[in-house]
Amino acid sequence: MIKMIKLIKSEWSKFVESRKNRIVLLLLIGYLIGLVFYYVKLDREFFSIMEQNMRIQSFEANQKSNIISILEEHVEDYEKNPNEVAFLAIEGRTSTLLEDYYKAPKVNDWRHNLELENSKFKNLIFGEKNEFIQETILKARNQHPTKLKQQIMMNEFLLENSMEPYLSPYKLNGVQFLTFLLKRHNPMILIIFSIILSIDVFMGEIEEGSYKLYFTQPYSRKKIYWSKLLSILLFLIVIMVSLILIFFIIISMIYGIGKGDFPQVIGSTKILISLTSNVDNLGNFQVISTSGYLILGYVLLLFSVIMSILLTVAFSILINSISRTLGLITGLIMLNYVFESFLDNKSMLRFWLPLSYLNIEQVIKGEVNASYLLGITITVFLSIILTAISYGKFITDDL
Amino acid sequence: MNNKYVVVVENLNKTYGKRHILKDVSFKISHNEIVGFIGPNGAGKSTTMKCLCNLVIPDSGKIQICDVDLFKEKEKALSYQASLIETPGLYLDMTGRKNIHLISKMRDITKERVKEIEDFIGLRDKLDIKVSQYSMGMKQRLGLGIALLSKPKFLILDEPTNGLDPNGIIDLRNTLQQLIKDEDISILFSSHQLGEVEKLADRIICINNGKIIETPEVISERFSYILQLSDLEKARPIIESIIDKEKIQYISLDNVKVSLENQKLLSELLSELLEKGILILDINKAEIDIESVYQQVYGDKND
Repeated sequence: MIKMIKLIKSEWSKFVESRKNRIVLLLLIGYLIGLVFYYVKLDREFFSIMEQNMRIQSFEANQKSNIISILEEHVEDYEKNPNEVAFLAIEGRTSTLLEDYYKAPKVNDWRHNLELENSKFKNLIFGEKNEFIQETILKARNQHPTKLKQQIMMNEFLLENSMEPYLSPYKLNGVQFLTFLLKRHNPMILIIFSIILSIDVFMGEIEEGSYKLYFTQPYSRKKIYWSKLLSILLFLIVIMVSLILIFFIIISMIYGIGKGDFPQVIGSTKILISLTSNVDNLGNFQVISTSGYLILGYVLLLFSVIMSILLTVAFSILINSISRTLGLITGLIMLNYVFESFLDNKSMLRFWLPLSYLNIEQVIKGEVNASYLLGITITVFLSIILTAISYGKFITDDL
Repeated sequence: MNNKYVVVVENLNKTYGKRHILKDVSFKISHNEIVGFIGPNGAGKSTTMKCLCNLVIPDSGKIQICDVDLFKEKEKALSYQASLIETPGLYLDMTGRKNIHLISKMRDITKERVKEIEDFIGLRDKLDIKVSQYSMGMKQRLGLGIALLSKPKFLILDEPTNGLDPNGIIDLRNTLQQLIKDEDISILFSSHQLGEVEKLADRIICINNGKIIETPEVISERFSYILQLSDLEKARPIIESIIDKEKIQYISLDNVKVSLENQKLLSELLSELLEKGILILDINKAEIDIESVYQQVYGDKND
């Protein structure tokens, strides 16, 4: 135990003295600062962008209504669909009203705004179902039916519980910062930082030649392996947690802590806690508090970070090269983007591919066929296998 | 330590694929002995040395360092030895001082010893610059200093003169000679340069094609001296009491050739002779014919 502590301490010295690690850590801090500015900017521009979007959507709906009127007037055989007319009328009217709201948002108007939003969203789902509006157009507007369904559920919850929403979804505060970190590609970027920091923990010494000093000290290879692995896991988790906490505290001091009980919509329990494919339940949601959402998200992120580090370490030992490991890992991450873009959300590949689980927001919200519990199980299983293989090679390899 | 040997290597074998790199390599190194290890490129010198410091795991065989089996009690055996394999393995992003401190903390070295080694390395203020900016000579000194931190009983030096300029080689040789005087240590060092090995080593082990080969006679007789004495008859029993009879050759009435195992025996012999009132009229050291040694060790082809 004392020997392990000594080895971990020397790993820490090497980690902090590494020029590459210092640069990467500075980049990580820069990235988090950039993220804060990005959300501040989004928050500031939210109302003008929404106003513009609503104006365009209202214009499009009115234009289509006019076309139908012209066709009805000038084409003899043309039969208008009354449902489509009603859909366009609601879309035009709700968009105009929302445009007015975003032009001069008032805190007291939040109930009215949520009701308006729900009317518009329900109408859009109806329109998409009846092919009055295409799914691709909704997706491009960031109004995919799944997202609309989630938003409706959230709005209803807020109305029922008389909970005041944030005026802008990008409103920055401590809790919101934590949720933003789980959104979109942010978890992936945190994982990329972990990969870059852990990629040379074993092979760096081999390529630098310092293994001739370190591995000839009176410590068994087994101890060296476990100390390196434990150290990098420990350092990265502590560094990530500390940085996130520091940002959370600073942001909370400037913008306030935020609401831990604010509702979040996630996938139904059947999807989350499942070890089998549950395609039929996709699109079924439930509401939980933001604190619950954050716990789920960060547990999955923690497992993803651990697996990514173990995967990186194992590949570097098995391949015997930092550059080739970097190439392979980059390839796998790119593959994740390819799958995300081209795979159907019901695809079984999403279910089995560990990389699918790196899109934490999609997994928790039950938007893709990738169940939360299975993700953690696959991650743990894969991590154990990779660790065992790389351990075997490391302790018996000639240097 | 019960055994008089610091290192015992027995029947070491190592194969890489179909290539048999080490074939039953066996040798012993005594207490305070400086052993040179020579052989052509690819002969198995580095592999043998890497086996001794746990970088290469042999297929079979036995290695004992200070009576401790390296494969059974790895950590204990390694604690008796230190090594400098090829170019010194150092952390280039760290300063020289931080490299020293890293290892000193791992091995519980006292502050006094660290200070001693810093003085021994002699790089002074250069210890606080990054190792990446060091010359090869500075790296060698630092590497050697770090190796000596733990006062090892056995030091492995693989091609320590590689990459050094002539001044660096002289400096290293002086350092090693000083080390032999100051520290209670046995050294195994390899080199291509027989001249270097010959100057430092008490004994030379030759390896070729993964096999330890018989040390050429000229090497084993490299501490041969022709002494001209005032009274050879009177000196005869004294010489024979110190040196084996087969290593004594009476050349003429006042000349005798003696082959010694090491240079220390010469001092012993000379002081005995002087004590008994025998005058030493002349001493000549028999020179080694390096070319003939190369031919015997490396064969006709330098493979």
